[in-house]
Amino acid sequence: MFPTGSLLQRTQKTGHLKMRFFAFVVLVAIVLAAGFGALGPAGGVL
Amino acid sequence: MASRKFGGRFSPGAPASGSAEPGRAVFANRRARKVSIRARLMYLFALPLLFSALGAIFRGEPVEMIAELGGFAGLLLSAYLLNDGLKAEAAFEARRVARPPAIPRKLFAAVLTGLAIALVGTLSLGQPLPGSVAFGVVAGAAQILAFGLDPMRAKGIDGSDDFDNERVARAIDRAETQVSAIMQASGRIGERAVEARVERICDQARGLFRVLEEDPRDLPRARKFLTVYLTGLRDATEKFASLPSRGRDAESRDKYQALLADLEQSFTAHRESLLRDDRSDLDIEIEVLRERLKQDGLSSN
Repeated sequence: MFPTGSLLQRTQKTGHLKMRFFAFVVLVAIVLAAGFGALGPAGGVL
Repeated sequence: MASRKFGGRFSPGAPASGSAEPGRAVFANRRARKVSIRARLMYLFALPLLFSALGAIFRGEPVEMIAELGGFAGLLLSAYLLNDGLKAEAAFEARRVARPPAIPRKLFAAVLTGLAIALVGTLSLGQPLPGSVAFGVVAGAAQILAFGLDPMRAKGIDGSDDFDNERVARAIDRAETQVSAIMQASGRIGERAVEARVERICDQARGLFRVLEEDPRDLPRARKFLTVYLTGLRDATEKFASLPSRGRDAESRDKYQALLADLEQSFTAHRESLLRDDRSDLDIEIEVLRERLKQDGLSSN
């Protein structure tokens, strides 16, 4: 599909998608760190 | 289950094009369900906590075990709520007139994720309370950013008042429930040809929902027709599905098939008059349909 909308709109859209992706990465990192015991002061197996 | 012979309009030995039924889009009047892989993965990411809890059991650490099992359960419940919330959001977006979901599931899921992380951090990993809370808050906020919030406001049509929209949304909610009951009952019949036919009728009904959403003024006329039509179809389908497959004799099958054909035909023919404001025509049709259902003994009223 060809991109539609102005450059500003497209930039906003891709920016929004990137933000969602980074938020997902942060979420996964915290959940996995809790699972592997890496959230404590001493660190975990990671 | 009966075997199905494959073949289409262009297969060798297919009926002449004039007699073949016109091609129908499989997803007419409904959308294919979107599945979010990321939301599904959230089930998987909770798993390490379960293994940590097993480790805590073998080490004889009860507090750690409770924290980790609690965290695991919290994350699983959060993943379930998140997936359910995304489904409800898709249903909301597919309609033009809709009320927001009753429970903000995605919001609850994010809160639950935060609580689970804070619980594990404090009780199992020895993190001081402020640190655990910080991890919890960041996890919850990241989940909201990644998956968004639930739709919170009802959406409708500009120019007509909220009361009308509310009524249409409620009537369509009820009708959608009936349609899904019909589809479930037809799934129990176990005959593909019958299932396909029932599905086609349900698609037509869904088409009418979309028309109603565009113009709520049609509701009073459409409601009566939909009630008789969908209730009749549901009762008949449930009754037919409840017959054990061996007990279905040719007569009951013929009767049911004839009823389906009648319903399909009357729906197609009278959808137009329904939208044309042709009241007398429609009232007669509803009466005929009601009588027909009563005669067949397929309706409960």
